[in-house]
Amino acid sequence: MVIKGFKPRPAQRDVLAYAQFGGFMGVSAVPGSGKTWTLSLLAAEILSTVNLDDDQEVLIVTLVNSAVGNFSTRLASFQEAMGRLPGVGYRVRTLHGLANDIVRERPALAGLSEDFVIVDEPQARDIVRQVTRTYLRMHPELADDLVQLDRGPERHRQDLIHQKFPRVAEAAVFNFITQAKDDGVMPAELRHLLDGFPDPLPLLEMGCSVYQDYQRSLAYRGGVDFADLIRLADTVLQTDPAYCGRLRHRWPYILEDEAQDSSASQERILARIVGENGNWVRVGDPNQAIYETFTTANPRFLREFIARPDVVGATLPNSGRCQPAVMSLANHLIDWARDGNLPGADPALDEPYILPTPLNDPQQNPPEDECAIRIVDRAYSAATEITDVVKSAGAWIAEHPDQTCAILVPSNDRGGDYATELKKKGIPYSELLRVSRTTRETAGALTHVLVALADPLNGRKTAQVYRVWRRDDRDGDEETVARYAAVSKVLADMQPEAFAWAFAGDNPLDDIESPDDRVPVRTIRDQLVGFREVLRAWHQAMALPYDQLLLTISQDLFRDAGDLALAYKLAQLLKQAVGLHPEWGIGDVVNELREVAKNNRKIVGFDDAEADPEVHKGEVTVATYHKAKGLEWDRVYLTDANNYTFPAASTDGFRGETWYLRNRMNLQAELLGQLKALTENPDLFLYSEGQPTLEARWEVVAEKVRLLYVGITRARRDLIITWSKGRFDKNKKAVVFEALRGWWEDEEDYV
Amino acid sequence: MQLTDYQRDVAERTSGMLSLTGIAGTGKTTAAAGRVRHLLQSGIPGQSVLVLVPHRGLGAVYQDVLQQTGWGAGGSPQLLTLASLARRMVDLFWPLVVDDSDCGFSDPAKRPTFLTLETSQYYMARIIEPLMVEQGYFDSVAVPLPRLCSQILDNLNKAAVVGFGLEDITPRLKSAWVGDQAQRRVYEDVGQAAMLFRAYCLEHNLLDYSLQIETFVSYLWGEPLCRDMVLSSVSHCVADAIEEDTPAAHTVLMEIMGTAESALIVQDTDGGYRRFLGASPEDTTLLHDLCDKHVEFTQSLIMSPPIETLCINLGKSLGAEPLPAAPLPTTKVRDALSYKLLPYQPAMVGWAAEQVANLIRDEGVPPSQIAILAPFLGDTLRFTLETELAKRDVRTRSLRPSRSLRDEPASRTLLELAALAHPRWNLQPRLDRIASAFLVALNIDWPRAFLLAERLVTGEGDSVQLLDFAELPVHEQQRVSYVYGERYEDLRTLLNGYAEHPQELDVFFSLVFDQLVEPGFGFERNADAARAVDALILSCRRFRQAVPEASAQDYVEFVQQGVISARYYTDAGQSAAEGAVLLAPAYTFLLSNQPVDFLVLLEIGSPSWYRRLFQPLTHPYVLSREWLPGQVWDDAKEVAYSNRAIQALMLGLLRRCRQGVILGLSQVDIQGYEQSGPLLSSINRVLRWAAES
Repeated sequence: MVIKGFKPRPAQRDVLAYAQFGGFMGVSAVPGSGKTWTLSLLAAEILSTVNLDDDQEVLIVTLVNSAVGNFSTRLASFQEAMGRLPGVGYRVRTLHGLANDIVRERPALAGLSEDFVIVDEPQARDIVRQVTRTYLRMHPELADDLVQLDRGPERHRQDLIHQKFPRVAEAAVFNFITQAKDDGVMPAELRHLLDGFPDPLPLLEMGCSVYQDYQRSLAYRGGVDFADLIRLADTVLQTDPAYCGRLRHRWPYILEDEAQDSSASQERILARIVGENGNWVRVGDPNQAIYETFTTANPRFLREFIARPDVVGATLPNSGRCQPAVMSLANHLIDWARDGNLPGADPALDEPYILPTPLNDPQQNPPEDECAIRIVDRAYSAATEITDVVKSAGAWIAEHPDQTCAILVPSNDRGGDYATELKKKGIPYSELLRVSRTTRETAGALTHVLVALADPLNGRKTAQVYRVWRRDDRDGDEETVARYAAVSKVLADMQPEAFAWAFAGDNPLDDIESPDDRVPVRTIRDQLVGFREVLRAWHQAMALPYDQLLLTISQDLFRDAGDLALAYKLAQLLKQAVGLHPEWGIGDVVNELREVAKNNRKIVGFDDAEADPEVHKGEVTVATYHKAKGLEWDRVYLTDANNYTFPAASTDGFRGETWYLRNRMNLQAELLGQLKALTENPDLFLYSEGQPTLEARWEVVAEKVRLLYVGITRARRDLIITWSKGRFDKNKKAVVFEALRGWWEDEEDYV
Repeated sequence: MQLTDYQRDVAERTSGMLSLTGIAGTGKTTAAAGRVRHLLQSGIPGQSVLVLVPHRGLGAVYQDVLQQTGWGAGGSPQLLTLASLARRMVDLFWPLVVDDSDCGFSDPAKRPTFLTLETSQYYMARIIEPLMVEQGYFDSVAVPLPRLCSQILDNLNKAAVVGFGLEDITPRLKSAWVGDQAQRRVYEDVGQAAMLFRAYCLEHNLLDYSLQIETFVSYLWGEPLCRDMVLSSVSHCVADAIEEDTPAAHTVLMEIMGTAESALIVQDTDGGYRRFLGASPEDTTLLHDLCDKHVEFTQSLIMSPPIETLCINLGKSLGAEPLPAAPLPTTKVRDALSYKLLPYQPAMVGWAAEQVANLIRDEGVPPSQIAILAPFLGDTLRFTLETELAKRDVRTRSLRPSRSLRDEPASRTLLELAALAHPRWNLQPRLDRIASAFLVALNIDWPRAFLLAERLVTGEGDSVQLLDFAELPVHEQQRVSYVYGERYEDLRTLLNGYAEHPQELDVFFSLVFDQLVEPGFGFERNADAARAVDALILSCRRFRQAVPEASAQDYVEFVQQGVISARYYTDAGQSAAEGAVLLAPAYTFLLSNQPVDFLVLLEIGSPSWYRRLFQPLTHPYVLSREWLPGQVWDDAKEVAYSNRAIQALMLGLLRRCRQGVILGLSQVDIQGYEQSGPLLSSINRVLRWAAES
């Protein structure tokens, strides 16, 4: 065994034995079974037992950047423990990172230049938005046909046609394009099929037309989107077997984590590299497939892989994470899902059940505590749920400063509300939302400075620049805070040009007075002299292009290497955006930064750095259910367990279904249904309007149940589930909430 | 100029044909420059001496020699590239060209218009844009229009310098392609676009680079009048870096060698860095065969023993051929090398800047003896390096194209002022951009520049106007100050005066420039601004002359879109004397051929160190003279090429370094992707060997 003193569990031992045999293996792992740990160990085991050439690596493919970091750190420590150079002999990548590696090595094969740009998702959506709107303006008959209102004034209908419907259409088309790329269907092929189809398909016509224009627009920029990157990696591997063979030699072992979220193209790419006789381990938990809806991921790929005759199947059923009561609840959810309580052919959840760790295992489950589970059957309003949950979490964490606690929420916006309340109550907290706090703070600081520099005659704005520059002083001791406030006040009352750019003979600092007796004038003057140097440099930088202005400010504003790297990345994104919009002024630049600062725009590559709950002991972490995956806390609150978050009944509202469209259609589902029917067999064209909407509904129901399963299994000891009536006071408790509550009360009675 | 004995042998041998080869740093160019000096000092008329170099940058060494030596009564030697010779001859013998119907030019009455890269791109864009929109040309590649144009032009250029017909471009590229078969169609588009462009040029007497070379080599060089004139003017020839020159240049050189009294041809045996521009080191064999004496320099005059040890080890790690037999140095690799792994690029830049500042401050290394190199020196990396070094009082110079015109503060200022002086362009004024132009032009601070822009620039579109400073309330006039007010008034008078009698745009730029170099204004004693404005004026004038039908507004829009960037190389030679650290892309440093004491190599984890410049519509090898019809450019060839390229690059760099190498590595690149390129593995291997030994 590579790690001295480490005794694997029997199930882990089976997986680790793979290093001796190789081939194909599929592992089904329950939450908390240590699959990342086991996979890291397996990589280390392979590195220590298999003689790899200097130019060979074990390739580990995982889902998100934070997991890349976790794997890298863990493997580096294993390597060091074995007296080897960390970072050598293995490579950890997300699928996007891997696709980027593959395409960057031979971009010409993919029809790209050396310096091709990756258009990030918000930019891609922006292009789709513009193109879709143009299409709808030129084809008003489409909205006329689809938007149906039985009652209400014509004005209302016009509003739906011109405002709301285009938004629904652009989101649907964006996902349609992503799916088409995952299926390897390019616009020209689709156009050919459509032109040969005898009947008009207006919806698909829109999808195809926007797809064509969108691709042209990307090509004009020399760019690809994320879906292209993956599609092109696949194409490159397919069309150049020699290159594929070289990569096969480079990566003789592929270990794939989170394989339940694999997509068709991910599977194709990895299968091509592995070849027929290679070594491929796929580890995942189909019960935790929560990225299926609105993406191309599907747990079916892992299930089918494990079922293949040439694949050795294994299970990691033991989990030392949760106390027995939490495990019982999670296992009951599996039973409930399998007992015909949900629509659809495939069960949302399936075996294996979660088993406790064996006796003598070093990681024993926390002791059983039935009282630590509370399923609160109270009809909260959206606001009272927040206040009660925050109050409860705040009180608990104050009593347990060495433990961890999380509030899981269904959306980033809702998470923001919780964060606001926690801040208001002075409770220490951290966030795991779409955009990391660091990213938002970095973008926020830069936004504040730019806004102020864009209004340079305003003393208050200059004071704002000072406050951003000395932002750490806000949390300083009393003296520091007083100084911070006093300097701000003095600055706000001064003319900025007289302060920063006094004429010869003038010295405005001679005349200042302290607004606070505790702060001597000399102290204020010293601060102002330092700040003046910085401000003058930034004023001078206003002559530079915006990205360089941002870099200049960042170099003075940030000390932390991570913040600075983020600022660089922001500057680069800005350069890209200004390149596309040469007419932009500073106002547009500020708006772009605000989108990041407001949590609306993810910066790929630098997020997810704050994921480890253990470094947030004594704090309440606010996370979305999705972001919580892979993590665990001593106490977990599952909020908003209503029929909007976890829909099931036919009367529930389903995301994607639009009430004013014909038959409440799910536009995206229908669009994808037509795509599938046409590309699979245009002669049969197996499509019936409404059926894709119905099937999409089943998928949503199943995925939401899995999301709840993920939420439950985050809790080590305490689990509290609440529900609220939502913003409009019309949501009901979810069917699955009621099912859990009923069973749990029976269980308690029984006990 | 101190020469070794063997260098002196080469320098003073002024008859017969001599070939001189050797690796970098062995003193070949010094010996060749010594020969030029010796010729001039021997009383040979300068005009009869030809120095042929593959690119202008390599002429710097010879220019220095000439400056130091003077050239006496016989005039200056001819320091030429093939392109400059071709253009000169085409211009001179134009009547011969247009008289011959084989050349294909349509209008004998019209003088030729020589296109720059930019104006060639402009015409190419005009030809292919409608094809893209209306006929779906180039649909299967994702390449921006300017790049499409430059790659097609590149194909034309390669055809000209290698010597194959335009009709061969498509078959060559198609038959070598191994990727998606549907993608082959794009090469038809490429060939078609090249043909259409050539036809357009012939019809309008426009000569892009390819047509200049082709007209000269294929036609004028066969004309006795032209050929005799060139040959009879050259008695002595020195051709340096012939491995970086093209087959067309080799053809001309060969004939010159046939008639000259003496010739010295110099070849770096590891060179060939300009293959992507048509350079052909393999094509030099015939030139060497013409020589009656061959000399090889083997001893490095540059590398210290630790660098030599590093060079040998890294060469071994990269799989390079063993070096010529010489006693193995006994010093340790680590004596030549320092490095640090940092998480992000900004931290790496800060660390590298600190190392450089320490070398200068603590060890007394002259700044000009330090070069900071990266595989590509992007704008962000360059800018942050410059600012980090400036914070430490270290001056920098860059040997890379300047920033694009739209990014240079001086040219941005002139473009913004041009919009104000041309209300009819109907552009939307942006307050912050006008204020920024005032900041630079009037040499005033940002708040006051903003105040002037906010209060005195009124109206929108075609009614935009600059108000009189006196229209400001008195307290605001005082806030700005009358000194600045006066400057503003001078500028306003100039702009308003011009608006009443508009002239050519480049004339406008000159007028404004003249105003802004006045005392107190922003360009006074500002060499950077002067260089940028000079480039702007030149670019604008050439555009106007080459594209008479385009408007001034078209020009400005092209600049804003980045179609016209007028990137120019800063004069590194001049700045070197001023004591500045060099920032350059690695290949540019190699081609400048100026050794330094310390090399700082950044982003050594980047895979870009290892890879050629990938361009989907052209190919350096497939369009080279050595390419055999029917061959396929497969992965094995790509790998073999990359291996050779990284070996040549790294050995070339180390052989131009005297004392030490500093390696900067960031774990993730600026995009957030982890970096683990093959160079890093090779260096790791060297370090492992060092540790094991």
